[in-house]
Amino acid sequence: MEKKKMTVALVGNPNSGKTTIFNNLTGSRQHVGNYPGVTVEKKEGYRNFKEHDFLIVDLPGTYSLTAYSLEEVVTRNFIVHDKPHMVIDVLDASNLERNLYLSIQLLELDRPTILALNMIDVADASGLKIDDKKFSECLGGIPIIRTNGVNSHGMENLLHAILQVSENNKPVTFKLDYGVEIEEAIQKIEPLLETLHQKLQFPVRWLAIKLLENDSNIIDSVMAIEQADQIIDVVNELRSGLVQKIGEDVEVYIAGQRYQFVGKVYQNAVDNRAVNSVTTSDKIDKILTNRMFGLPIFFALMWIVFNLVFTLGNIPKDWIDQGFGMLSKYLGTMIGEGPLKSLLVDGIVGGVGSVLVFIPNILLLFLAIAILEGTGYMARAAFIMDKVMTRFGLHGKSFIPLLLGFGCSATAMMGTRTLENPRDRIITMLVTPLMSCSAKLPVYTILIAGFFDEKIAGNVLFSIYFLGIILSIAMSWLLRSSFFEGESEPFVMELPPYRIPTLKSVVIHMWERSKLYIKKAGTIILAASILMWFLTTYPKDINYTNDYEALQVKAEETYTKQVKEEVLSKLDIEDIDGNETLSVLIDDIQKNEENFDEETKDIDENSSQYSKFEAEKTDKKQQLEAQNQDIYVYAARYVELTKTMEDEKKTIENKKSSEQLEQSYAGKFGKMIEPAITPLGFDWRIGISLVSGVTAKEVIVSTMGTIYSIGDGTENSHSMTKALRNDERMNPLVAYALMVFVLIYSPCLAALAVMKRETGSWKWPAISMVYLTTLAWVVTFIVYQGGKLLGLGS
Amino acid sequence: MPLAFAKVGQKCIIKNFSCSCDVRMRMINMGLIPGLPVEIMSKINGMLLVRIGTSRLMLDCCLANQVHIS
Repeated sequence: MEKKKMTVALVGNPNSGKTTIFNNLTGSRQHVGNYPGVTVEKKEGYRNFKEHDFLIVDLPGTYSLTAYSLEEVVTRNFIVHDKPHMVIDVLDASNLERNLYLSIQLLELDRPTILALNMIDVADASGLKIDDKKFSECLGGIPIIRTNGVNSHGMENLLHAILQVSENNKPVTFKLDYGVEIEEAIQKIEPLLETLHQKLQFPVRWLAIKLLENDSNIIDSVMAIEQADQIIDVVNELRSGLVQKIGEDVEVYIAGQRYQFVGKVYQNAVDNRAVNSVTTSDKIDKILTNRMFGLPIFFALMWIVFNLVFTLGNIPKDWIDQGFGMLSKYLGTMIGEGPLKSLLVDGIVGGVGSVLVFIPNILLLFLAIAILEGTGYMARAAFIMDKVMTRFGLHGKSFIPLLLGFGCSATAMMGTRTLENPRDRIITMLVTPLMSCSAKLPVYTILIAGFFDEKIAGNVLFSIYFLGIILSIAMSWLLRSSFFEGESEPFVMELPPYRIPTLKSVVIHMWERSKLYIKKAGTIILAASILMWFLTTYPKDINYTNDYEALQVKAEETYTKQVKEEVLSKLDIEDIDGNETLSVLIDDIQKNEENFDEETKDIDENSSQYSKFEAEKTDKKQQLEAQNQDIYVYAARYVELTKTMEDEKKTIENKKSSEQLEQSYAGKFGKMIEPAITPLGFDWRIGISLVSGVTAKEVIVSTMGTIYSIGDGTENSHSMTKALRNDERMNPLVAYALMVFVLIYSPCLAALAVMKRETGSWKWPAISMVYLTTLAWVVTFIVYQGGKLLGLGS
Repeated sequence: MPLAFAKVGQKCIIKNFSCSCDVRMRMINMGLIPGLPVEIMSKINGMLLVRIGTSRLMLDCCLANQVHIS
């Protein structure tokens, strides 16, 4: 056989294991549409088998090929317009009747088709016996391949079958008899459809059936063609005649005929006598979807997931933090002072680093979601939560996007595609940003660490998330009752059986979603960090109120003089290296102090652990004193003077940076908007950070880092915490108000971009931005002013 | 009688629908077709879980009120 290039389309019900087969066939050689995570976009992948090239297209999961959803239309259009060389229909062997309903419609499209009986292991285990030969006969002789996506069984057979069928080139011979009345009508319409067939490319018989079914998509296409309305008139006449003869709607009747045919095939080819109608899944569901236990079990599971994500995820955080710290120190030594070093260290490493630190949490969150989806529990969650959700104007299916919103709003908004009703979709998208996304977490973490006691830290964090949830409920109820009145979309969803997901599929899912987050870091956040670095660093040539350079020099001069007077001359040396014991002792004293700082940096000052370290430090100090009685006092004085000088220099430097910041582009902008945010307790510096956060929420932290002059570039949240505490305008109330504002205000660029994509215009993202920022202002105002009234906030 | 009033464990047959055309077809596409037997598996908070053949479907109460059984 000569080398071939073939396009293969994968079709099937949702939950039939189609995507697993796709992953098996294409491995990592996949290309997904820009926004992965929800199987509605067309996915393509490559496979080379026996010298032949296969382009495999994973079409959306559908139950039918009517015109009632975009997925169905996309699927049938692809098959007929793109003309794949082969269509593989993936069926869940345990659920054949329903899956076959799609299969026979596929066969009517007259394209070469192969049936893959997937999840055959589950079917076998349940006692189901399928006669492949009879099956194939009933369906026009098409090949039936048994597959098990989980262990890749049958993949090669599938590929072989594709080659064989294309080699044989037999025409498709499947025809479903719809009964005398319908067939008569079809005979009358077919002769009129030649032009249509040429233009639309669908098979003539198929078009006739669709017209009788009143298929809106086909009818629209027909109306767009000249002189085609005559055909419509004929069809309508036939339809009314048919309704008289058969006694029900033509559409329903035709569907019924299909189901009857499927039933016959099933009876012929399948032996299900050994199968128990109550499955293991059912038994599990009796507990998990139980009237009494269902909801509590659900909440318990969610609580466990969130705890895991945030505690396990925090473990590697310190390592990553340190890694970035080392990187910036290394860069600092490699490159001399100047704008390049500043850009690299402060702007890039500082900015992007603060984002990447949260990767462990992200990975864990998406892993948890992938597991919940893979096992099938997500569907149960939607089932349990539906009533709760509808009470507040949302749809049961909104649950999954809202849950995803805790990871990333942008990803979550893509999940709204499962909602058919545009109204439900928009409300969900408008409310999703209130599910505090993971990008806001760095802001909370740093503010809480700075201003709230360790013991209540967890509760403070929870209160923010909880506030978000309450607001989302309130807003969706408000939106639904005022702007989006109308019938809610009826909810019907299949409950797939419980499964043990394969490690591979879970990891792929997790990775697809996490990839988006990391990509964001590499692009938007990088760009935004550089931009913010620029806006806060320039202009540089400004008029300072003090000659800071001179002040620095003066501080150094005073230091040198003091050291000489109080230490060097007393010991009769030129500098400290003149006396080896002295310099060693100075080293030891400094090391003792540094050790203490290092060990206690995370510990509460009032704890017993802190006192323990303090005691150790004092002991060591006394030890050093005892060992070097004569020169200890001088060494100690030297250390003291050095520290004072360094602190003073730092203060001068900070004052300088602060002034420079105030007069930078960003600073000027911040001052401009300051009046609007003062009632919220914020100053111009917070203003700049908040504006920068519109690009991506993670940037808030990096901007704050730049603003609070963490000039040494270490990605150390502790220095940021300290700097925050030193700012007189910051106190616990302002910190909390800031967290509330960050929780609510405008979604980030990525989320806005997805919203635009999903709704087709900038109208909704703009509305979202305005309403959320306004809501943020109002709520924060209440929180801050209310808190002040209550006397909090010192 | 509407499906919504059926009891857990009850087996019945779908007769017809009292909803709009497209909602009806959507349900038919999912497997809920007149003449087919269904079994009520579970009822929680207004949601219904039914078994149709070998598949399990969830419906909200609004929908369940529009499906009539005998």
